[in-house]
Parts: sequence; structure tokens; C-alpha cells
Amino acid sequence: MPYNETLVAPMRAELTRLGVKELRTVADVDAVLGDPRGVTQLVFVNSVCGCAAGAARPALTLALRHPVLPDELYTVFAGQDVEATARARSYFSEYQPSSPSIALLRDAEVVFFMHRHQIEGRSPEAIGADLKAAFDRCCGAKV
Amino acid sequence: MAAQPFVPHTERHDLHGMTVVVDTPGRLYVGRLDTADDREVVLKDVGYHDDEATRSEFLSRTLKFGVTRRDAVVILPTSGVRSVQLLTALAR
Repeated sequence: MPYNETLVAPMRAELTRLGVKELRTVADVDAVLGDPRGVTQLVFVNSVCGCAAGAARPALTLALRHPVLPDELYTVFAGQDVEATARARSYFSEYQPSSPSIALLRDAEVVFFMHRHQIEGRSPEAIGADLKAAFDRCCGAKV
Repeated sequence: MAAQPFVPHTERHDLHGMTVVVDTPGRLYVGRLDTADDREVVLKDVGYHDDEATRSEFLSRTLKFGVTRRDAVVILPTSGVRSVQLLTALAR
């Protein structure tokens, strides 16, 4: 059962104020992830848990200061926007659901995925460094 | 100040909330540890594998693609648990 929206609003705002766009419906998800346009897309699967609050969201905040970034930034909220999250996960191919998690897609293909088990117990700085390295590998100009 | 890893729920087991691999005779479990004491080990969002010969492949695949959830909660008697270790420790 979703938490009261008043409780999770700050968890959403922590990302939207960075310019990350929320995908709250199936239609929202299909409109962007279902339309491969040669762009790189980051999808942050948000959640109410401590790993998101203390690690993943701060890590993304740090990573988005990097000079190389995905073309588009999106988030879905696991446990809150249930159908949108399930729809987004359907674009993640064989990568299993977990939250928080972070997917990087290029031309609708997953080119980097960070699972919950790669987030839990780590510092935001370490996670952010992994994200920046992924941005460098996957989001630079195509050769 | 040096960066500190985020450690939630300090009043709980050290591995609470962490993705662990639990080795038992005949079955390898992977899931989030909820509690572990001298009576039982409780895991959530659990995957498992029964073929000892292909455990290494199962764990490699799990590290790359994540846990394929098969049970929401698994409760194991501690007496039947050979080991509990972090999934990410196996990647090192």
C-alpha cells in the first residue's frame, strides 16, 4: 500500500529539483522509454527506504554535477506509482526489480544498471563515482 | 570528514537490509536479510538455487542481473544455515 503522499513528497522533490522528471503513469513511461531516439536516458527507481534516502538520492545529486550527463533524466517511485514503476521495469530487459536502483539506457537498451545490492551499505560519494564513470562510458559522444 | 557508508537501523543486525547469500544443504538463498539470531534467519524478496554444480553461474548472474524474486519471505532455522555473507562480497 502506498504511503501518504505528504510523507513522500520531499523524496520526490529531492530529485525533481535537480531536473529529474517524474514518470507517474504508464503513459508517461511509454512516451519516453518507448520512443528510442538515439538518446541516453537515466531512470532512477526511487523508494522510501533508507538506502534511497541516505545513499542513492544523495549519490545522484553528486553525480549530476558531472560534466558528462545522460540526455534525459527520469524517475519512477517504487511502491508509490506502482504501475508506472512496473512499466519502466519492463524496459529493463533481464535486469530484475529492486529499489532503489538506477538504469541507464541508450537507444532503449540498458547499458548500465545499478542494483540495490550495489547501493546498500555504500557512501553516496562511492555510488556517485560509479555513476559518473558510467556517464563517461555511456553518455559521451558516439564514435 | 571522510565519507561514511550509510548504515541504517543500527539497532538491528549488522546485515539488516543487506542482500545476502545464505548457504544451506541443497539450496542457496539470496535475499534481503531481515533478522538473524540463534533461532532463525529471515530473508525477504528471496531467490534461490538448488543445483550445487551451477551455483557459481547462478551467483554471477545474480550479481549482474539482480535477484530473481521467488518468495516474499523465507524463514530458515539457524541450525540449518552453513553461512551468511554479503552478495557483493562474492564479487570481490
